[in-house]
Amino acid sequence: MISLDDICVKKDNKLILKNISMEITERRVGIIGRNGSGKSTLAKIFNGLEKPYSGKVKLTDKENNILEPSGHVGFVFQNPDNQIVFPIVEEDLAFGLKKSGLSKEEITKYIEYYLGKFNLNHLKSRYTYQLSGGEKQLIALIGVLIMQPTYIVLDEPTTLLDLANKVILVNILNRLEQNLIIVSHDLDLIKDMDKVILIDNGAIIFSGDATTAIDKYKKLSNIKNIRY
Amino acid sequence: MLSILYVNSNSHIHRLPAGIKILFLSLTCTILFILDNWVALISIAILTIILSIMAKVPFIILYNSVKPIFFMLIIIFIAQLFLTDIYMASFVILRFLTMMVLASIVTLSTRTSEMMTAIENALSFLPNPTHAYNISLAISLSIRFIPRVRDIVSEVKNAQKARGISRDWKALAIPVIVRCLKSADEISDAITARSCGNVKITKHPYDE
Repeated sequence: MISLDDICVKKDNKLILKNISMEITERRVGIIGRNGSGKSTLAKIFNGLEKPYSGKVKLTDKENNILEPSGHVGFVFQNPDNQIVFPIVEEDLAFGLKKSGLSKEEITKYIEYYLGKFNLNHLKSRYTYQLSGGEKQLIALIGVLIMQPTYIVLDEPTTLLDLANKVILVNILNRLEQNLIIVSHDLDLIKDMDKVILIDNGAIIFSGDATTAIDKYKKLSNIKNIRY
Repeated sequence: MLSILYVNSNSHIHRLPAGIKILFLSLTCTILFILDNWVALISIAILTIILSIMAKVPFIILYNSVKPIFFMLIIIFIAQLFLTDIYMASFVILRFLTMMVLASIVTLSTRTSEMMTAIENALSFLPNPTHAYNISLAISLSIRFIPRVRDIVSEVKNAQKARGISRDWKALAIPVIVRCLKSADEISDAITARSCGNVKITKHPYDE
């Protein structure tokens, strides 16, 4: 379970997140909100990439032991080009495992296992900068999965994908056993979540079922009155 | 188009340890500067050609990797012509070119991760091992992200051409620097997120 207790985030003397308190116990949680509402900042709070100005983040396992967010919450960024740090798929996937205490042979086994799981073994020796947008996003996701996190936070995972790659990614996300927190504008992706949090101006304005959250988001965006 | 950073092959040069290749490159470049004569230069230039054949790196890839410095070589050649004579100018240019081709052979035949490990081992004398890891990571990242920076430059250039701005270096430099800094921020976040501290993995999924 992840719990946020009265979290505030300040940037340039402006409050980006205001007194956010929540508990995430559901397996798949969506976060929606308008541009600049604080969604991405909230996402980064979950794995410690963003430090709160005040408040506490607590991550616990089933036995209620306190866990370190950085090691147990993986993060998939919107742009995989900035997440993939090595020129060959195999060595990029090995990057996170280097300090995990595994031997070279075990690391190779891990990489083959995870690529095989998603039928991507043919990408093992490919140059990362020659992959398609969809393949890059999947390699970025596998780079996170290989570290076996309990939670995976995905920031706008479908924004740069075409329809076919989006379907592949959504199918893979549905098959994952990890708990997912997905920040997205993509209502198709959000509609199947167990819980959806609607955020605006740095504050939670709704937390509950996906249908109600999406309706409220549409009302908030006032799409009926947009004239351009 | 993105430049190629590594050529996949099983050549003898590829199989050599990265540390040996880096040491050889440093020694050869030092010798080129110490032995200031044509015999040494031509011998090393011939050795470089032999090494490039042995490394099985296609000529076009090697050419593309040194092409960006041609403009600089022309400037150096003209400057040397004014300062010395045509023989000295040719000597200096051939020396630079040989070093660049040698360095390209090393990078094109060595995986970034191997380079990183070699640099990390070479810096193992540092009191804190984290420093050696961070330095080797920084060097590897600067090699890896050359194509990304080139990509950013070309995107900004195209965006400006589309808006009718051409050859305005100030208008190019500022958005390129801002975008590079933004990318650097995200890359650093991604590395922090992916390194995941020092979590020890004990669960083997492939055994399940």
